[in-house]
Amino acid sequence: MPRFILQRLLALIPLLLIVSLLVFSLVLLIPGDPAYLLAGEDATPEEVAAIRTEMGLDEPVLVRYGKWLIAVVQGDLGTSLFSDQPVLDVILERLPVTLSLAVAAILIALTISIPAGIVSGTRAGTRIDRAVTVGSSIGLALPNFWLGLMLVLVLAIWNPWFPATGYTPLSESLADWWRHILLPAFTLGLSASAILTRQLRGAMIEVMQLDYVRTARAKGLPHRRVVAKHALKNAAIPMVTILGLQVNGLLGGTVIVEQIFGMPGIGQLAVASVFTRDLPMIQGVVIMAVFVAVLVNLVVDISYGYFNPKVRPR
Amino acid sequence: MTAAAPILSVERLSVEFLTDRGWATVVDDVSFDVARGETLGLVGESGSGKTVTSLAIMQLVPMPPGRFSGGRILFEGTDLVELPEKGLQRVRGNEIAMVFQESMTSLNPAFTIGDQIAEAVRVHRGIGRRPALDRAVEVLDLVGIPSPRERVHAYPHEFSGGMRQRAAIAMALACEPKLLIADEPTTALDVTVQAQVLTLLRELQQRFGMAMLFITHNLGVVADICDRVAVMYAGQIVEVAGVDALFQAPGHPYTEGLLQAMPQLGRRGEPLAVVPGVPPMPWAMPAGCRFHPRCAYAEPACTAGPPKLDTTRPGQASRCARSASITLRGSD
Repeated sequence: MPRFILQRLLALIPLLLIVSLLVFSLVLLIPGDPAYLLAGEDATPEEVAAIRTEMGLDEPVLVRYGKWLIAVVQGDLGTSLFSDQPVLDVILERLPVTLSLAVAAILIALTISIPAGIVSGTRAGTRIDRAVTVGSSIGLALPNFWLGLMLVLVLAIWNPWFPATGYTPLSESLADWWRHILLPAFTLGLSASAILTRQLRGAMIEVMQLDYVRTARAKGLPHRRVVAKHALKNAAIPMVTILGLQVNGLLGGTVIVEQIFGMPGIGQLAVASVFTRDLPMIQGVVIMAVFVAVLVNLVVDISYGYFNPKVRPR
Repeated sequence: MTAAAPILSVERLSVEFLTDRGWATVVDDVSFDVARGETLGLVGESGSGKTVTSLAIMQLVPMPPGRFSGGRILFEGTDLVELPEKGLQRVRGNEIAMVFQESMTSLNPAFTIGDQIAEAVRVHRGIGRRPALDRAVEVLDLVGIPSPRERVHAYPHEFSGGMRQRAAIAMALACEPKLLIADEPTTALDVTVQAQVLTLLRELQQRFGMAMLFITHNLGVVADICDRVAVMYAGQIVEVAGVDALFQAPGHPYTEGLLQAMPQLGRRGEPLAVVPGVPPMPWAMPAGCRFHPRCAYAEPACTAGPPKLDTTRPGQASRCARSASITLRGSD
């Protein structure tokens, strides 16, 4: 197993190189010259040229890419043009907010979708199955910006049960963290839970008709055990695939949700950096996002081995 | 053989399935007994209702689309049709166990062989994980799996077809059931492996004194392993006989057809005999005798009314209106 993980990690290197190239070329693709921006509106051409030399903008592209890449590998993502802080520091400061939002959203999605998928998948065609199907359609159809605003309106303003905005780190207070994270996490996780519910329902219906489920019943196992052990572990395989995709989408969703709930996370940072044309910061955020997405996919790949022994490396 | 009280008594069992054309009776008024320690063969073509009959005994007929429309299934005097689910769970895998046709699909790919054997033992014996796993090793050894202590941790895909079927038999035997239902357990195997598995089943049956209901379409296998045979056609039993009687002097034209259709050594070059035509669909059963459209001995009287399963000789019964007036060929 460790060898398998190592292999997978090594296989990520070419991917990360390609991503780094794309991220770097953002600088070249974005219209406008950062040197002009930094120098200010009244700068003379000489001043602009000086800044350009200082930033290394007059060197050949490949040289600039090489220098940038070496720095990135060493953990130096540059300095924010806006706040003069090191990009990595800013990102690491905000990463826990986004990660706890994403993790809480996944937990909520799983807490909803696993029971709902099992119940509707094992009782296909019944009233409760139809209720779950309708519920998941609604969950899919609600745009998260609208859902977020409604939740704030109803549960934070009309009924002040939850704070409307802000964030308390987990390390300070579990209760406050939970109160702050619940609404945004629900907003973010609802559509994922709808998709996962549908996926699990379909997989359960299929698996429940398979021979080994009949074998399990022929052994005299109670229905609960047949469903929760024999059917669920096999039905979970396609669900894990979808979960991996959902996590990537969810990270994108944090951009909107963090805006709505005023959470100081990476998503908010991304939006702010785009508005201030803080290029090093944008690059850092993209690299971090890619890194997280790639890690999530790795975890998904590894977890296949648990659910499906056939793909387990020997 | 059928003296004493039978361990299993299927009485006038009928099972229907919902099809596009409405309810179709796939098992129609089927009755038979299995005595303690006896092997009864249930023989018929695909779709004759033999598998549904076996699933009905286990109360595992998928409902919907299936439903019981009559009859009783008495196991040691208890009617399994009336038994609530909890009671059935105590019977399944414990008193009556089942081996299925496809060992590849009937074992769960996500759990080890040992785990799948041990869980039945744990549920029925209420023992812990370790002793249950020891029991799994024991039964794997019993069915001839080499180095069972290591193989108990293997997954189904790491076994060959024959080994998987042995493991499935081990799983069925783990709680020492009184009745084993084997639904075409050798059909998916190579001929040599087939013979090994049959020998194994016969040995184990004698060793534990189990009764066995052996479902197959292969009369060669029947001759090998069964004491008595029930032949099914189009959802009905058309003949019941001791295995020797059935082969020497079949009482139903359909049985004769099956015997003649068996490929035999030393008859190279001769075309194989076939039973002409195809079995009827459950929603389009012929009037009168269901076999008459395919029967060489049919006469107008055969369409008149459904023939009854009548005793023709001691221990032999046939559902043929003409059984007294025709002489059928056995296998030679």
